[in-house]
Amino acid sequence: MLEAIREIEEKSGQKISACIQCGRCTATCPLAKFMDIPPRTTIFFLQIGQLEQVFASRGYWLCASCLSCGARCPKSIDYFKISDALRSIYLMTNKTEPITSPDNLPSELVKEAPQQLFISAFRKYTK
Amino acid sequence: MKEFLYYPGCTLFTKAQNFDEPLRRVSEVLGFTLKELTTWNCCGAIYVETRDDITAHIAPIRNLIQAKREGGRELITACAACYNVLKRSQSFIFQENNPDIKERLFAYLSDEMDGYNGDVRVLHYLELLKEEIGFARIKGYQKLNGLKIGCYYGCLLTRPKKVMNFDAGIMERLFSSLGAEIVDSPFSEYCCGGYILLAERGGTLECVKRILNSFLAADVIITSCPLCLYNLDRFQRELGFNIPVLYFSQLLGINFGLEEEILGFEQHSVDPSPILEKRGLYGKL
Repeated sequence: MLEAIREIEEKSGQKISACIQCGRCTATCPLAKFMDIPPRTTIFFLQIGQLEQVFASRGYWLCASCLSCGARCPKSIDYFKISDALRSIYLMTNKTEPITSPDNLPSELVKEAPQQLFISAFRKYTK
Repeated sequence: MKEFLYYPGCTLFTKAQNFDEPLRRVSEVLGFTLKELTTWNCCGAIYVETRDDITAHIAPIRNLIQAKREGGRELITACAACYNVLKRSQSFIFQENNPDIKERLFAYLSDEMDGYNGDVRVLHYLELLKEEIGFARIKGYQKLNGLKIGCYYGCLLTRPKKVMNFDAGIMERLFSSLGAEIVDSPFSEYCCGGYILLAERGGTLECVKRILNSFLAADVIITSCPLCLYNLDRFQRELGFNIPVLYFSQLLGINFGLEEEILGFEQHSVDPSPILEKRGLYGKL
């Protein structure tokens, strides 16, 4: 367990134990209401070692990397880096890509949306 | 004519030519040329936050090395995503203290570094206008009188603040000097939902709704990001809005009287021409 936390901390460059659970990240997160486990709670589960619950959740996949959480954290923790670390670890240790893959995109969307949409999503969601 | 090295990025090069073309044309009117890098590659489209993903820095740093080779002191970009990625990678490798990552990246790029030490300045087109031309001089071209605009910055231009150090009032100052009336919004730096569109469509639509609601008084909203434009523009009918969203370069183009073919309004879901015609800025004048 400690090993796993250390890996998240190294990948993200953030100290999980430094979080004081104030909840500003969740309050400011534009996508929080769509998350089963929002930012503050995700960090809380990491702090108490409930890693399985975190990895099974959908919350960290819905981080849009808008960086608002980091801008408002009183402890200068960047949650958006933690969510990227969690995705990276999940994708490296599992065979599946649970959110989206290049194979199942509607052709109308591919035609009209900017490349930026697809490249961003695949960098965050695929191996 | 003074030249500045320019990095269009993939989207401006293809799907968002109506962002790119007005920039090149307006620059010439103002007395300088955007000289595209002779060779460039995708910047990566989004900054990868994991510390150990060193490969993500290769693409942006390569573009900066190329700019240096071509004699650039600065590299101009207008796409908010390119600007964000180029600037953050440059900062992570050259300004922030990450010797382990830097060493490994340099080892990988050893054949092509050419002694690059991070000294090409990543500059946004709006910053170039402010520094090179100055908004006081631009005032002489004022044509947008009476147009109410909302300036939307989103995430990529402004965050993280310490690295981006972007003036989040620059569009207001530029366009009010061109005569436009500014509509303020507390959501000007709010997230548009970005790539979450592919994971949770309703999430992106909720973000879009909040932003559009805050700009109800605007004739048009302007942005510097192709994905923000797409998200803010594309779903308006189903969300019950009708506010045209333009690239800031298109609005410059309108001010400088560029042709319809260059402005490329046919790509937008909400047609900007009716309101622009009403304000006497477009069509049969």
